[in-house]
Amino acid sequence: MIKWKIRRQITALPGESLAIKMAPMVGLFFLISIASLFGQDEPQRVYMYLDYLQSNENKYLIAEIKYREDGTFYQIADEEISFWQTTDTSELELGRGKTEKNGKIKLLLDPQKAIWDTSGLADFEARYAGNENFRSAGRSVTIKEIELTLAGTVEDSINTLQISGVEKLAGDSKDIEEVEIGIFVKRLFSDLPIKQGDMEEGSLSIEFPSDLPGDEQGNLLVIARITEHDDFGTVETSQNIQWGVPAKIVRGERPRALWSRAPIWIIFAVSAVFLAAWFHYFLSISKLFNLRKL
Amino acid sequence: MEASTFDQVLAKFKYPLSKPSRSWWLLMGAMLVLVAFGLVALIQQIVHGHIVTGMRDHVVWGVFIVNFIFFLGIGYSGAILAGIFHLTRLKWTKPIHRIVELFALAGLCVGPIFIFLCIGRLDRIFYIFTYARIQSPITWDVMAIMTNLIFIGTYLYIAHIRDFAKLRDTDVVELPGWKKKLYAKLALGYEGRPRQVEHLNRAQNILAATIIPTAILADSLLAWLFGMSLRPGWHSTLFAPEFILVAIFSGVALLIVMMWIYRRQYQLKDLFTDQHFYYLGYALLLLSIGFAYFTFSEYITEWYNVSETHGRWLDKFVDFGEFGIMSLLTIFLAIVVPLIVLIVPRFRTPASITLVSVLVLIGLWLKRYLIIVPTLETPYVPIQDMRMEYLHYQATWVEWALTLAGLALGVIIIMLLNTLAPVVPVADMEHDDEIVVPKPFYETIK
Repeated sequence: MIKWKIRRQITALPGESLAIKMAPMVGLFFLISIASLFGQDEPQRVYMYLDYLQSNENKYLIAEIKYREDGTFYQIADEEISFWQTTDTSELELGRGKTEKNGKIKLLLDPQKAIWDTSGLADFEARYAGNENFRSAGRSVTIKEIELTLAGTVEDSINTLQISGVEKLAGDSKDIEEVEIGIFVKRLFSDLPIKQGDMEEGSLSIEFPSDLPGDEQGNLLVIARITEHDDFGTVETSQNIQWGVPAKIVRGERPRALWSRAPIWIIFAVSAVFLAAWFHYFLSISKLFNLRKL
Repeated sequence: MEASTFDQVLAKFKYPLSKPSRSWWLLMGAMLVLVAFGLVALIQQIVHGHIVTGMRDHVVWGVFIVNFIFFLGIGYSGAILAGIFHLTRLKWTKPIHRIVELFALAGLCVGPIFIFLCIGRLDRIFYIFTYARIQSPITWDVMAIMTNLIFIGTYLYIAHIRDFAKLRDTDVVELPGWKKKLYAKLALGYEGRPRQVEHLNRAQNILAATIIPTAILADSLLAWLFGMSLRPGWHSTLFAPEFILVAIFSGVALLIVMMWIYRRQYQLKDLFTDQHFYYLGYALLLLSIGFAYFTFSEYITEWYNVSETHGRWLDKFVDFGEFGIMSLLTIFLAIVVPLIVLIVPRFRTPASITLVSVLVLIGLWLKRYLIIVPTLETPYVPIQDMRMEYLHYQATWVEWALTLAGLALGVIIIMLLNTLAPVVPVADMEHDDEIVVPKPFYETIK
């Protein structure tokens, strides 16, 4: 009786016909909302980056994958990336591996596999197959192979760095032009920028400061670097040069570490204590010998 | 003590001496489950590395090293108390000798496991021995722990020989045949002949006198490992005596707790008397005052003239977002509560003293945490690429699982030893004229 009364009241509300018409739509919307809560999410779009790094003799491909959520990028770790060299007619797998925690994977190129064509170009590609959470992705780069050299000379008592660079062609070479080169010195955590300049006709001379602290012998690891160039990628060459001010390493007043050698008298004292303790131990044990026969 | 009384005491340990009781199996099962849980965590740690723990670049030690110090402290205090109780010949302490020896061995067995868990490459554990450098203080600590473990194990055995002989010969408790044979072997033919008594006493005296200084030195060595580094909070001349005091403090607290458990389990009210609780309660009170004194000295000297790094370290103890609550809790549990309960006669009962002891044990575990973690979270030189997870330690389930497993392992060791001999050294008490009950304090000063 009470239920009937309530129902009557509801059906008597103004706009009754509209509510009745909207009811299936609202129900459908509600069902879809519920289903979307329990249903599987769409795979996320993956942002892939591919960089080329040439460091002295070694050449690397560095791939990185990320996804975006609420306007923020997050690295994707532990996913397999494959690296390929492609030509118009063929493709060759160079290697594969899983991304690190920072979403990156670095592949050292095998010189036997990675081949540059007669015009000094090579096409590389990184591929990510995707899974139920992430869509597949791929990225390619075309790289011109160059050779960067670094030498230190002293001209009129001024330390000067001579950097030269050539594009490598089949059996030939060509000077590189208008490329910005940065000079850095390797420090404990990051590289210290020194100077930068543009390369003209394949060479660049840069005056090097004479007041940089080096190690105890005055060694500095000097790096010449082309950073993220459109054609060459990142290319760097480094050399150990004795141009630093030899560091006077002041040994601490308390040079002892717990894992290093303790003063000899302490070693003797400790050994004596251990020997005394063990002597008494065996003395105690000796009293138990032949206990049965006593 | 008459033979019949002795037999009555021995009869109380029918279970688990003849066969473990149902409650024994239930407790053992629960402990084994905890150990199994710990093994799962250990496998996680071995497979994935220390990344599954909360330890990172800055806080390279965490709950594992806290447990290491805590359990070793229990072990060393057990050794010191066992030696003191034996050598002082305090008759009222006779019934509690074995408890002290039991937790000394358990502590020294469990403690070192936690240092192994700190090692990233457990497969290289034997390098500690194959590449040991005698000139390194860290090697001395390894040697000191091993030495103490062997000494206390042997001491425990020597202290058991009379009981083994008694159990070999007794008919009071029905023992399985294999156990009788085992007792015959372990008793080394001891039958109580005068020369045997003399030799056994000498062996026990020598070892008791040896384990006291070796335990004190070993615990000091552990403290010096911290004190000899220049880190804020560690570089302290107080550390070694404080470590020893805190160890004995935790040992006395554990002794009271175990006494209470055994008293209820085996109906040992006439052996573990109320007066035992009061005496040990006084000891707990004195140790609590000593602990308060050390704590005050430690922080006042650091606070009065403070360097920048030490200031950052000290601030963490008054910051409720850091270690403020834990610091207050430590002081409350290990100083305030014991002082209130143990000074006021109205509050002093065996149950309340036991409860205080449990709280003291928790407080002293937290104290070890406060020794380790805040210092490691206060580096001298901030490094590049600093991440908050490097600087703020948060123990993970892996560490807690292994902590519980360590605790369970200690209980298992004690339970297994309980199946071998009574928790009261019955043979030692057999020739006493009576069970010596400690007198109330006011009677001793009449």
